Amino acid sequence: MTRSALAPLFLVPFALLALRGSGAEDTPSPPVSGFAGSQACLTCHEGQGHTLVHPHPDREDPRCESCHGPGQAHVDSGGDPNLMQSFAELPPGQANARCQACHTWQEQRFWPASAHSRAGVTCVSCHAVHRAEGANPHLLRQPDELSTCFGCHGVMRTRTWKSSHMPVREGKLSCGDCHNPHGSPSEKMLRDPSPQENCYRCHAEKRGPTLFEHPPVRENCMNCHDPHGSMHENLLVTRPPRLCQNCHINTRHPSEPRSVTGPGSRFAFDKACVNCHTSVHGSNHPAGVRQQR
Amino acid sequence: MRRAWLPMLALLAVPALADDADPTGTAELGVQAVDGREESSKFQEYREVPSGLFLRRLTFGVTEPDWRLTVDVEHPGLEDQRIVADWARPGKVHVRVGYDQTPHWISNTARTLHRQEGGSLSLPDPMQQELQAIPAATVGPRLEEYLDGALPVDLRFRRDTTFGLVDWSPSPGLITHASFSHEQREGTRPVSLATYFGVGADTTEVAAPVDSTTWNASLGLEFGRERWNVGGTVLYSEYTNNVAAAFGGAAYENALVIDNPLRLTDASPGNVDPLAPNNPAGAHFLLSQPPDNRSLWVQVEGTAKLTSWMRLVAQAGVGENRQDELFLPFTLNTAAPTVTADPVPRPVQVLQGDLVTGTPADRYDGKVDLTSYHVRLEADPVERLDLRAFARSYEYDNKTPLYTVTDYVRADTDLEGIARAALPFAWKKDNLGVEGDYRFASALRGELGYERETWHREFRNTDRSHEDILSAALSWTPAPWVHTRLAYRRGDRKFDHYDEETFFGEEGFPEGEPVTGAVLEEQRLFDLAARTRDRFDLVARFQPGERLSVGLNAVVVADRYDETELGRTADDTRGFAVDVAYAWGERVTLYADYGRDTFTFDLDSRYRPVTANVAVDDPLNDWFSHVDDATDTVGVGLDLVLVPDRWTLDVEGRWVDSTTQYENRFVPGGSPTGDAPPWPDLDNGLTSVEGNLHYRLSSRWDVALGFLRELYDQEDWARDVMKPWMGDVDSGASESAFLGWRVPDYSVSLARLLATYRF
Repeated sequence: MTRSALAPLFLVPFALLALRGSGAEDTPSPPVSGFAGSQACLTCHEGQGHTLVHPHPDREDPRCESCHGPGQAHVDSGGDPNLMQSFAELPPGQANARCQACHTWQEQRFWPASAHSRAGVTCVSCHAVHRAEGANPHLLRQPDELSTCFGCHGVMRTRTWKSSHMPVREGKLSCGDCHNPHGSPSEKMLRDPSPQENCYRCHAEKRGPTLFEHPPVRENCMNCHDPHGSMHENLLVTRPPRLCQNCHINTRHPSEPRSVTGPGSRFAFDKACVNCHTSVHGSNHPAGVRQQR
Repeated sequence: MRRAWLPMLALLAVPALADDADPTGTAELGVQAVDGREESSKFQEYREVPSGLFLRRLTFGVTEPDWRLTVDVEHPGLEDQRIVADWARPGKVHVRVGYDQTPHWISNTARTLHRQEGGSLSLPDPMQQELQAIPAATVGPRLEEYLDGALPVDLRFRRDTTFGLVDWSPSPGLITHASFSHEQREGTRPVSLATYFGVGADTTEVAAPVDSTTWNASLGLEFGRERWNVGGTVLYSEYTNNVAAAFGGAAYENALVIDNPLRLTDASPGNVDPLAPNNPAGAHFLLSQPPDNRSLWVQVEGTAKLTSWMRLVAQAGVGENRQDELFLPFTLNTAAPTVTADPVPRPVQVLQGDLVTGTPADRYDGKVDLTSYHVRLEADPVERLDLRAFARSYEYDNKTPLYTVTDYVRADTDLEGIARAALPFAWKKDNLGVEGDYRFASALRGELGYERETWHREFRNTDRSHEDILSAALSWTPAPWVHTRLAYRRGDRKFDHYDEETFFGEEGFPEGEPVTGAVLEEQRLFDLAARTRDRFDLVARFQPGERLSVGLNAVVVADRYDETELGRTADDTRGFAVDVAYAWGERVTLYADYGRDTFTFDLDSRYRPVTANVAVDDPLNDWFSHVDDATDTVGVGLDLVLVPDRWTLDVEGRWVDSTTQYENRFVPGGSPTGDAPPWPDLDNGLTSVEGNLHYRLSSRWDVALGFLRELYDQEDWARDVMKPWMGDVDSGASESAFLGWRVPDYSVSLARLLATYRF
């Protein structure tokens, strides 16, 4: 792996600086009845205009009333706060309706009946359109996705800190890679139709099918794994042999309780059952009936 | 790094900047000294923490009224580097391209005698020749001497992913979408296998190659108006395993050929060379690796506002998973029989079909049809009342034909003597439900719901089970700064019929094994068994003003398998977390969190030996295990403005402790093998403290002095004990060869000077 691309990286911004073009100019529309126009808002709320990070076509016209509603009465009253509705004080449905006037597609399509919506979460619970510094691509209120989700799902923070974990806290994965926080038709707001399909996006080698299957593997990866974190290797919910002995206790060596030292401990140390039964996710080998090949 | 040129090229193709282009960006350059980072693979499990001069991050962005561009480069040139370029005209087009490397370092202590070339892992012939012929009692000690000279091998692999997407809205109400990703995975991972019990069940563990490619691509279209929208997406995924083993002039795809340390020449119990009598098995093990596969999925979805108070949401998809690789040979062991006598003499082969009517097959014709749909009707017929009804279904319809192996070579040794069926397991899950919520007051809302989940399965102990799920929740928001929600779910799962005799495992395929009483009739598999589940969730947030924020989260899940006599009888998950953040003036922010997560389960079991082909059922051989996992974590942090616009300090600490306790009990009497001995606890812990002192030199320059102290320790009886030769731990492993891979403790200290330039 070479480290040869550093110099060109520095050149790119300067190359772009050398390019020139013209952008379209947008003429502010005259105020419509009940609407005061953004310039009226900025007379008192100049700071809010500057901190707005939500994209808006005209740099000079943040179009405050497209989200906050008509403001003429508020202006005429000299700024009576009761004549302007605060997003924080609106019922969740009404607050979300403002955002959903535009954001009803793709990621947000399933929002109205999502678990978050039913729980009273509003768009502004997680997103902040007024913030100049630290704005991130999703305009989150917190510096990143994890902080946003852990604000309510603190138990999941604990799980991501367990020794066996996916690279979530290293910044390689986030909650939104598997879950759609805006809702989805699948259980647990997963992005894919089933938990297994979700896992196969990164672990396609497990997709199969294979000649000799291991049924609980095919039905649900979480029969054996905890994707949010575990103290056991490979995100297993518990260590073999006890994991396997939840099902495999019919006869002979699987039914033995095992010592971890001395004779027979090779059935417990290292990968335990998987020392021999290596193809636990299914085997395509004609001699793989016991997942040993 | 060459794949990073893709997003770089995209940058150069971006249209000209506006007249008043005002690009912004940062560059972070630092020098770092790290002590102890190589002690353990754990510290750099998913990252590279460099020593010396390094570039931590580069960002670049342009925001114009009608478009924006951002480029973010993290850790350029390091194992975990990532570059993402994003360009968008909001509401019109969005393009993203990127490249990411994610390492995974498993262990730095493995050692091996095997030499790897592609999928072939070989050993020196003289070693194998000696071990197969010396006096049997000396094989173990001699293998130990060989393994003392095993060479280090790094167990790690890396995913290199190139990805991109385009969202384009050519006209209002129409969005098209395309995306792709290409992942290349390379490295090594630990893989092991063993010979059959009859020849010692000796394990051989190797550093197996990882070399695979996964392509994902999708195309989509979404179209709509104010009251409705519809969309469709096609997703294709293809996995290719590039590992192949060359042996005897042939190439075996998706397979490993591993030399048996104990044999140079092939043998089997019925075919023993008197000059080389030890461990009569194959000289080479043939191990399958994940086969190539592909998947195609097509889905349509849409929403429609039927009336001002009723809305329909629907999604349906069909797909197919395919795998059609050539079958590997049963074994490379030339001394193993190739003709089975059960019930009549015939070749050992794979038949498509059953034993009677099946025809020889050289290739797997694996095909699974997937079907999914979700329909939801939402209504708010009166002001305070919301109602929902939904139906959801997912079907894994396995269209793979039945295959039968007329016999099989057990562990590259000899024939089992029994035919086996490879069953095309299939299943379908349906959910039907209704929910309603009512706002008692502006601050109080209650919910009730009922859901029925039904499972249909093929070739498992139950073919139909259902679960009735009742749910209730209360949300209370007495003030804008208080949000609380308490939810409860009660599930009661039952099966229509549990067929203990239909045990599709090693003892019970339709062709069966001649053991009387092989099936443990009192056992219930936990994923099928009758079960009640009680689940409580609590989420609460308090934010009285801008300065203080408090969050509470609790989860309790209790599963009881009351109709299970043997097997998992109970499991519990309990989680609790609290976090507090407080801003004291403009200059001090404190934050802290505590979390605890536990998982426990109870296993009731029985040791059942087989004597004269009869399974011995003796309640005096019953044993029980209670397993208790607990993790606690505490985090604290401080952000301090020492001198406004000049000096800031941030310090963060994290402590994590995890423990597993095993409580094993047994019924006195019976066979000593059924007496469950005590197991030591497992324990691991992480302590990390990091701090940074920032100084703002100017509006463009910052410097920061940083430190990190991180400690990890674990006590794991299954892992800490490992070394290549384990005969002194278990005499039954004296003729086994392990990698001896462990995850050592580490103690890392890091000091860093970082300069940030802003433009």
